[in-house]
Amino acid sequence: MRRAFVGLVGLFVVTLCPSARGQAPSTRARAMLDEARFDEAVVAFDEVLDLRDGLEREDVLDALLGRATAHLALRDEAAAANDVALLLAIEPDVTLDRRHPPSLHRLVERARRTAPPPLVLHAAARGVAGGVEIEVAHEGARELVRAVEIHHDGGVGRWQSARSGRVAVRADAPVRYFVVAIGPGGAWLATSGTQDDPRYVAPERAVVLETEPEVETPRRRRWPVALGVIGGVLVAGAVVAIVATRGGDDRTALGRPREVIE
Amino acid sequence: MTARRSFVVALALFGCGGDSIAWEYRFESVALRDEARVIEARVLRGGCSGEELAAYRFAPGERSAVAPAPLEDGRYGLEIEARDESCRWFARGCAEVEVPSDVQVVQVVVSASTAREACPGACEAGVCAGE
Repeated sequence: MRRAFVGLVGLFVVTLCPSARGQAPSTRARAMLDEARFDEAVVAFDEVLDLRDGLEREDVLDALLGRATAHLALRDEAAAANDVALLLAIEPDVTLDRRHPPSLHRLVERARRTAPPPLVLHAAARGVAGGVEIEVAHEGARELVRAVEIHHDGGVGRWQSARSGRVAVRADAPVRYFVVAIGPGGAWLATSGTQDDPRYVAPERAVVLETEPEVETPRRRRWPVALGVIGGVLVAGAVVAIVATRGGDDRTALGRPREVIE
Repeated sequence: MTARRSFVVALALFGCGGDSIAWEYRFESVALRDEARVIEARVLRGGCSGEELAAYRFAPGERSAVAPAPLEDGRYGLEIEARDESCRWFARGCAEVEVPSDVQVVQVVVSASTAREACPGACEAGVCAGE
């Protein structure tokens, strides 16, 4: 039985795994599976999923499948189920074939029935005076998402990216943008919008309110009102200034990086 | 990676506390600057060997159009790394700053570092495919 399982795993490794991406940790992990060194394979796949760069989405899917296979071989179904749930969160339509171990097929089918929450990106953008603000949040597969990136063209057609959940962009023209969930090894796990099919957000434009028709009132009665309005504006301004400089946000602003040439 | 030592200059101006910090960087040499095609600036939590909080990419000589998010109190590393024409990270510098502090300007000096590939796939003029 074990031999058959190992054979299936070996076949899976040889024929299905991505062949020539050349990352040493992936290659080592697959070799461990091939040699039925499942404990070491789990560690090696952990290392793959801990990489900071060099992976693509398919590599992450393969690492999850490989680690789930190793966990199953070690009779650790809970850990395998966790890997399969992560896999389905980023690729709900993943298909296995006869080269995968039957136990993995069964696990995937069971997990599909419970429908683990998919990885979803929520991007929100709004125009503000002098530019736009873009925010992104994500849910599902939190264990895999290492960062989110916001890509935008600054309203001038020149694409830039920020690895941050929120950016404020100075712009005076509509800004094209898309957002990406970054996973292990820098892999793009999910996107909302793309560079070819971006989202748009326009800076806020000055709004001119129509003035209300002036109501005729005796001049001597308008002065107190005018003084009251001016006083109110001054007080409100002072409050806003105090809040802006002191209260509300104790965080320290960090300027945009600026090159100094000496 | 064995980066050459990067020098860090933190300038305290006027000795007064500030709630904003200017982030500057300069290349150690003109030759290094001439090689740079893409700059990536990173905010690292806990210092220069810390976890990446945010990253911003832009061209040399330009400023990122993106304003970094304000910093909570704590220690941070402000890192600058440069890519060359063939998408290799080849120069790096990092400066640490404690927030809040009296430091108003943090200057990162970017020095040569051991080259490493930046792109998993294709590269064109310092820009990875898909960026």
